[in-house]
Amino acid sequence: MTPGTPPAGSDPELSRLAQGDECAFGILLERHWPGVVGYAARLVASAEVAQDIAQEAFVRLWDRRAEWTGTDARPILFRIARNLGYDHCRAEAVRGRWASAQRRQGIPVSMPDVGAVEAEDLRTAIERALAALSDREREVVILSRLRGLPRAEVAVVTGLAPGTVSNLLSSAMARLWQMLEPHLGERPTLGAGRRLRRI
Amino acid sequence: MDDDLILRGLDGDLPGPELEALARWRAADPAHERRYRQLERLSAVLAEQERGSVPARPDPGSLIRRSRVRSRPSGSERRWLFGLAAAAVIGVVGFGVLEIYLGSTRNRDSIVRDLMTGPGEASTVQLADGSVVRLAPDSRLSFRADQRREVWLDGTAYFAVAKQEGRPFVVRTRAGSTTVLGTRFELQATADRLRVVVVEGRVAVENEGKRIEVDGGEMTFVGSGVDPVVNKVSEPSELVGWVGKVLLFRDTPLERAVSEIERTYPIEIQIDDSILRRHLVTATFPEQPVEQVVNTVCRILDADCVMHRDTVRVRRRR
Repeated sequence: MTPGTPPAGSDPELSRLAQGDECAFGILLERHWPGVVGYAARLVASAEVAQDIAQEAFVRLWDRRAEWTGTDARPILFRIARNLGYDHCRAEAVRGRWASAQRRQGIPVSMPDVGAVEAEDLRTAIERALAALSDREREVVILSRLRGLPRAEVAVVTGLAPGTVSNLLSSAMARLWQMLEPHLGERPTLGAGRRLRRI
Repeated sequence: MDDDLILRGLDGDLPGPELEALARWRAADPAHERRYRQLERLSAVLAEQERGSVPARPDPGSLIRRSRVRSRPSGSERRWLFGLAAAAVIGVVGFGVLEIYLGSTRNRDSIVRDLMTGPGEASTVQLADGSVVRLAPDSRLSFRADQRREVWLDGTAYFAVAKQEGRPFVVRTRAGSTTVLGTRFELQATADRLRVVVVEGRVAVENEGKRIEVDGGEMTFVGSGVDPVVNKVSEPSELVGWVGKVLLFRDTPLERAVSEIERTYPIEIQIDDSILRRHLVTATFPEQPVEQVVNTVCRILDADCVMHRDTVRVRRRR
């Protein structure tokens, strides 16, 4: 679980929302704003658009308040944000959402070679490694490892079966480790006492 | 041991027996422990990746007001309309998809609805009389749910007005009003200025007691203290490029519709038959793939269409 991420089932305010309780809406906004805006930023690359999407997700949460059941607002908000983010990408005719987003940020999307990774900042290396994943792998990694959603919520947001989420996550983590090992793994000896720089 | 089980263990998401099994597995072999540590380290750096400044949380009241102003419906009131490409002349239905916003259920027929767009957001609405409006970003359109052909605009919108004999369609803005019978045109309305670009048909613009008529292929500006002058425009569609790949036709001659489709998509449409070319087309294509647009037009025309690469040949069905 990502630190600061609310656990599943932590939104009893959802039922009060259905009654038009504006205080409940304020509480949900405060609790989930960082997560939703962070997730939206992963979808569209522009911080400004991400904020618009996050705001719109909360507006729609309020709009359709009578429809929500249960005690988890997060998968609802993430799913709305996901749809809005994809709509935005389609509207912009962005081919390869992630790839384009990374290109705009000046981050190459090709599979990094070990030599190149060595000299990179860890943060950039992680972005490159994420970009090299398949769309579905990347999505479950973002939701599960970066945003801290449990498997069941990832399944709701993505519309994938829980078993598929687990499989994608396992394969993605294996590939990420393979790509990031020069930064994160044990220090391999390079001969003559030289070692890879560890960040 | 499956990586997913290790990750669930790291997340505190494993029941007791499986957690104990994980502990035994780690202790059984240094390679197992190493794999556990790898996933632990990887999870930690990935979670750390999202740390950083979070944009300020908006005021909840402002979001609730935004919801109310635009009168977005509850689920039961939300109407998705499929097949809006009603062919008024030809009577064939196309495949348009539009989202229409309806407000309060009370006194539904007379209440004024608001459709608002935010930055970078455009929206399309079909009015009760069959007219379709594409609303540009940062704009607001107020309209009624009944058959009254009168709307209020603040911002920019592109109109495809359904023709109804003897019943003019009126767009009111702060800088003047525009009256039409059936046509396609764009209005850009600010507090003191109104730009009118007519793609097809004729509109009458009124401001401060003055009236001016603008034909297809013409544009004008009206506003306080400005004597309106009508200017010719070689290609009015280019002035309304913000509409994007949304094609709105209302009793539009086929030749004109084809020319707009060709300008919107990288495609050439060849129609050899003079009878086909005289057809009028009424259809709405909200950002649809070119194949769907072509298929719909061919169904409207009841014609045979053959698509080869970027060229479509349209022939009358024998």
